[in-house]
Amino acid sequence: MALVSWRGGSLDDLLHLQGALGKLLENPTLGWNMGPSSASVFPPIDVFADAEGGLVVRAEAPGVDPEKLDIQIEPGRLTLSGERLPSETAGAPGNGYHRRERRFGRFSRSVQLPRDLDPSRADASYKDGMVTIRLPKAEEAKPRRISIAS
Amino acid sequence: MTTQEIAPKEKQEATEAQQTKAGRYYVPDVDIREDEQALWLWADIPGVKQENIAVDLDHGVLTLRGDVTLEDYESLTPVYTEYNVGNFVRRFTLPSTSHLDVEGISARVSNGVLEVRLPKSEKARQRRIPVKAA
Repeated sequence: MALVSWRGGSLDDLLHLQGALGKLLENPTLGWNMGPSSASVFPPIDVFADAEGGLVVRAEAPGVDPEKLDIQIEPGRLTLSGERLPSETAGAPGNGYHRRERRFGRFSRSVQLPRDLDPSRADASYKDGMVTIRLPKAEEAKPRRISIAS
Repeated sequence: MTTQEIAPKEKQEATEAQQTKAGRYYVPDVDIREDEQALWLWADIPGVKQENIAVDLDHGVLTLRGDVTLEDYESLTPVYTEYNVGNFVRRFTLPSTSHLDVEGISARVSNGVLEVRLPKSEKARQRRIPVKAA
């Protein structure tokens, strides 16, 4: 797949990104095959390739206490689990709700990873409700140019 | 309640015709709760920074809007996708703003969840009338 660069105005950036993601959403065979579609499971996950051949896994997990977020990386597999609780200001559950669209509870998701990554150099962050896990490509898996001795 | 598995749910695209900007907008999931003092609202807006959130009240219509941060997606190529990226927008018509203390409305964001508190005006607060024995 071509490398998409998102320079230029922020609207162009957004349209580019939405287009690239939309293509994959409509036709999952273009990207990785992760088995049966898990498109509506919490938290939804996107996987990206970075410019150096590593992977970036992002999950939309708003309202999760980072303390209750657990990220496990083992060879070929990444597991994201945790618990989402209502806000402390929400009071006792079940009382006085006009609308209830948000769901709470425990979650656990796994993503298959290629073997050529280096989990020891992985890093994870949680900001504005987004989990971001960066997995760099293993040094030994990177292409090397061999110079020819004359 | 807390041990319950989270039910599957897909992002809903905002279909309002009046968006002037191009691109996809999504409808954030929202909880609304009323207690004696106030109306509370929580909206899931993952990926939106505090400075890119706007909460407006105009003629009894409460508008929540959040623009996603795209920097985090720079130089990345999607290989597997379950969610699309877009800005969030949602509007609510409030029953009657005369029942709310408009000056007292407050909003805050934490871990991608926007919380809006709309305090009730003095006259709208629920009152229990004591019943006297005759």
